[in-house]
Amino acid sequence: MEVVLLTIFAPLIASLISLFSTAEKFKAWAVTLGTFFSALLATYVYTSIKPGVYSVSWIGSIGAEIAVRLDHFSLPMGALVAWLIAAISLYSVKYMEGDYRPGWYWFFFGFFATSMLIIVYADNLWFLLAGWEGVGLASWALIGHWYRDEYDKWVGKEEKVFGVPYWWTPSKAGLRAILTVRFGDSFFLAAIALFYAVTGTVSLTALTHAGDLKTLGVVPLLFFALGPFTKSAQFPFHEWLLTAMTGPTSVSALIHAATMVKAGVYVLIVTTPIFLLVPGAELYFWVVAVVGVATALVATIIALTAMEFKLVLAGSTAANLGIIAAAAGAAGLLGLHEHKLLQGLLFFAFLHIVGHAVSKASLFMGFGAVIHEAGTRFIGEVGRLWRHMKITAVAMALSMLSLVGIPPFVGYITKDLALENVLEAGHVYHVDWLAPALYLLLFITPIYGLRLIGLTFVHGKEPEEVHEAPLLMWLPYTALAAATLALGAYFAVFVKFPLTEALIAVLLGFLTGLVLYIWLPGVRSEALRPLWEAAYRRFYLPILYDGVLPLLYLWFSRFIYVVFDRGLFDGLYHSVIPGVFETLSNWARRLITGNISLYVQYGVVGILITLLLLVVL
Amino acid sequence: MIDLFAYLILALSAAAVVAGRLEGRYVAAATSAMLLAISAYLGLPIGVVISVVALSLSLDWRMGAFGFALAFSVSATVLAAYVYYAGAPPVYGLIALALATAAVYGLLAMERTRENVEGAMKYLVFSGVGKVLIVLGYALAAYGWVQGLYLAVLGFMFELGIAPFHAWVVDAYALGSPRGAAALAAFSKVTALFVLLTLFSSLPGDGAVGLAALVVALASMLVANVAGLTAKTLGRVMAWSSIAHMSYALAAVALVWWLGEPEKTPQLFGIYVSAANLAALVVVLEALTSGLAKAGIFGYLTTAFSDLLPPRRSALNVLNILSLLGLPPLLGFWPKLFLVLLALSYPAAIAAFLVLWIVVNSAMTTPYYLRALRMVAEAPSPIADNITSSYTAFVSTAIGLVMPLVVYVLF
Repeated sequence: MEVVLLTIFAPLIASLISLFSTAEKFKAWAVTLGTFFSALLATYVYTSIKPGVYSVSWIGSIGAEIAVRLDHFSLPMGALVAWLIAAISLYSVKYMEGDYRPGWYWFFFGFFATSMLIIVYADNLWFLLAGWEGVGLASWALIGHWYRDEYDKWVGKEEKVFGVPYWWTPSKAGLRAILTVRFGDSFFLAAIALFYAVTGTVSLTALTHAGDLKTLGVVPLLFFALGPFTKSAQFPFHEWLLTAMTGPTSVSALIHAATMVKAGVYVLIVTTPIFLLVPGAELYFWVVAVVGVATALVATIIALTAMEFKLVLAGSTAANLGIIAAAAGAAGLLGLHEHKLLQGLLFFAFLHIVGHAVSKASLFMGFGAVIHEAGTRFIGEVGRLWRHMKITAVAMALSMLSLVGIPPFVGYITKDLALENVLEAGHVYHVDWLAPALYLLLFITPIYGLRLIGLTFVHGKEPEEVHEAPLLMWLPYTALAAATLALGAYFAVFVKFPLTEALIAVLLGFLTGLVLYIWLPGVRSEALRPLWEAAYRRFYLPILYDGVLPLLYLWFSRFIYVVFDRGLFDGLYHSVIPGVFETLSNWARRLITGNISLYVQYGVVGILITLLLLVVL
Repeated sequence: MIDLFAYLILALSAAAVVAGRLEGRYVAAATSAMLLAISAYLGLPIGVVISVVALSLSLDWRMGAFGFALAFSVSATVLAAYVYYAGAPPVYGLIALALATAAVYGLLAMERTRENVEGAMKYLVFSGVGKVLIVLGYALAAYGWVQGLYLAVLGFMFELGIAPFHAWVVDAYALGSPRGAAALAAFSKVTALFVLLTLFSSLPGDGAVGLAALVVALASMLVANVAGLTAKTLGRVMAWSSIAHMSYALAAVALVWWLGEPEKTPQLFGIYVSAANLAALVVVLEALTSGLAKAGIFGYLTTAFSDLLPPRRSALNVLNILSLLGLPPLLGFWPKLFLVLLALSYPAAIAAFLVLWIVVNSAMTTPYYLRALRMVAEAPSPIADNITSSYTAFVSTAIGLVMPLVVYVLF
């Protein structure tokens, strides 16, 4: 228990220590050492500590405990998260060098890491919620880190679509992120409270056997799902993830690789066996699966048309999150029929967290180095970087091959296993549209990957002064790129090497991408332009989030202001009540005229009143 | 020990022949010092507190011949307090009341302006009517006629300025000389309240009269507090405040007259106190709150009358105004609290209504007291605090701070 808690809290302790010095290097190395220490401990926990639940009491009246659960999900996830955080932290030492806000960055980096590790290891949902909220807060702080909102930190260009600004500054993106996740969190919190009210426990282990769940109904499950949906940027809540690219690239890597957004799908996976017990769970699993597939398709198309390096990767992240969510939902659906298959199917979904995390962390760090060295965030403004950044180019090519699912890289194996869940669920439940949708997804994925690699490293405008990234920066992403191959081999041997018809769709997409962006770049189709425009504008969803919803909220707040604030409260307290009292007061005061004969009359009236009172009372 | 007061008053009367030749402040100061000594000797703390008010006024201001009036008024007040505490015949209290009225009339008119005389005259007329009714009522009641009590209560309504018999109070405070207004608050009203307590403790109560008095007192506090909300000069704000405080005092006595001793004996700081004693404590503390604070406020004004904004700033009178507002732990907080505790000892429905009424009325006073506070705190510099304002602010604060100890000593 103590070792696990130290694993979780080491980064936070390091963050707190970092506050005691103003030296940037001290802060950076303090937190980095803390994260490495945490990673080593996580490895020790993974290899040496007996699985089980360990807990100490916290707030007994609501069933809150500091409880950690060591099982086949949390142990590898903990090690993965801790090592990725450590790698990204090491990368940040150089990447954030000379930044104007090191104290803020390094404190929230450690805070974020601890919060994420709480989510991974927590067995008690209240304890998990603490990490959940911590991650939300830290993501706001880190996405909006560059609060001066300089142009080169934006997402998008300074242009408006239907009157709505289509660019996002770090401050705005941070706000978008926290508003979106808080919306889901409110439902998530309500659902946890309902679980406790109904079953008397919020322990994941205890809930797995809680018979009272049969009285729960499906609505609390849907409330619960809104937490992971918003956190994992599932459609239609994926917008915040795309604009979160305003943060430092190291933050993008942190949020997109194995943390925060993965927390949502991770929770979907670990709660699936619990929700199987709830009547009506089939609807819940369908919602999860369909939302996952929709997210994957929409985000893949966005990635295909994005014109910023990090935006392509962000779209790809959302797409893979969709795949993992769909796999988890499908596992639940299949588990309703064959309960004994459930753990295996969930493990397939979980594996894709690992497969995607390794390649995506590498890609973010690598393209962060590209942006850092080339000084632009736009695709097409710099090209042929292969000649200047050979190590980075190779690392990015390897990672991208893994991301888009080319065998034998780890991405191929984990994605294929995850999608097998979904295809099987479609087959069992006779949902015919699922398979074509997934093949389309698999076809498009390699195209956007090769587009990014081709237009960055192979073709385009060659810059004059670009150098390879420093060792401290390229070492982490190159190591991770190599890991995509090593892990692929490991999974192929020890888990499964799938060979399905899905591979044909992937290879067709790969071939198309190769032709369009490596062999014959510059092919344009005017017929596809409207479709491209819609995808490039992210299906105009920002108009909803940045135009319609704020406008509705503004109208609503004005309504509240006019009706309640000015009308009821100001009106009542500042006009009506004072007005009544002023009138009465003036009337009572004006009885004092100075005319003594009137005063005598008042006296006579008073005497009559007292007499009347004597008689009446 | 009444003879001590008699000798003092006789001596003052004899000395009055030199009033035209002697600065009266010295007479007032000497009389106050003697009353201070007598009060200390008799074990009469109220007498000590009141005597020092007169001493402060006489040290602060040239009084001319009106120093004698000040000396008479403070003598009357200490005598009335002594009559109540010593259980002396009530007739001495009535004499004290008459003496105070004549003296305060003079003080109200002392600047000899048209406004002063108008304010003083109204006080004299209505206070005179009140005294007649009190004396007549007391005489009838002493012979066992219940109507006598009614007449006496009616007289106190005139004397204390309870609405609708209150109109004169506004003119007397606003138009009378500030020293006269200070004396009116600190001596005349306090004297009247001690006489009320004397009659309260010596005459048998009557439920119907008590209830009628309670209804009038409750209505009066509302009228005063509502009217005070838009009062624009310091004198008028203080006048409405005075009406409200007298209404609180009368309400306490009337409540006990109406319902008698409750089944549940009230407690103060864990000490059981009879309802009659608690009502008397409310009356005394209301008298002191209003008297001390207003003596301080009027006692620092340099003008001929107070129907205006103060021409000079005062820091210490902020404390006096906060005491009138009832801010804990200042003196003014306690009588309101004790009145609430008294009400709570009666049946729940009555208690709830009375507590609500008292609390709402107390809260309602906040705007006009804050306006008065701004008047004195934001008036033009320099600060014009004097011995009277310093003393009254200090005493209001000190008594408020030690109130639990006072209750412990008294009961």
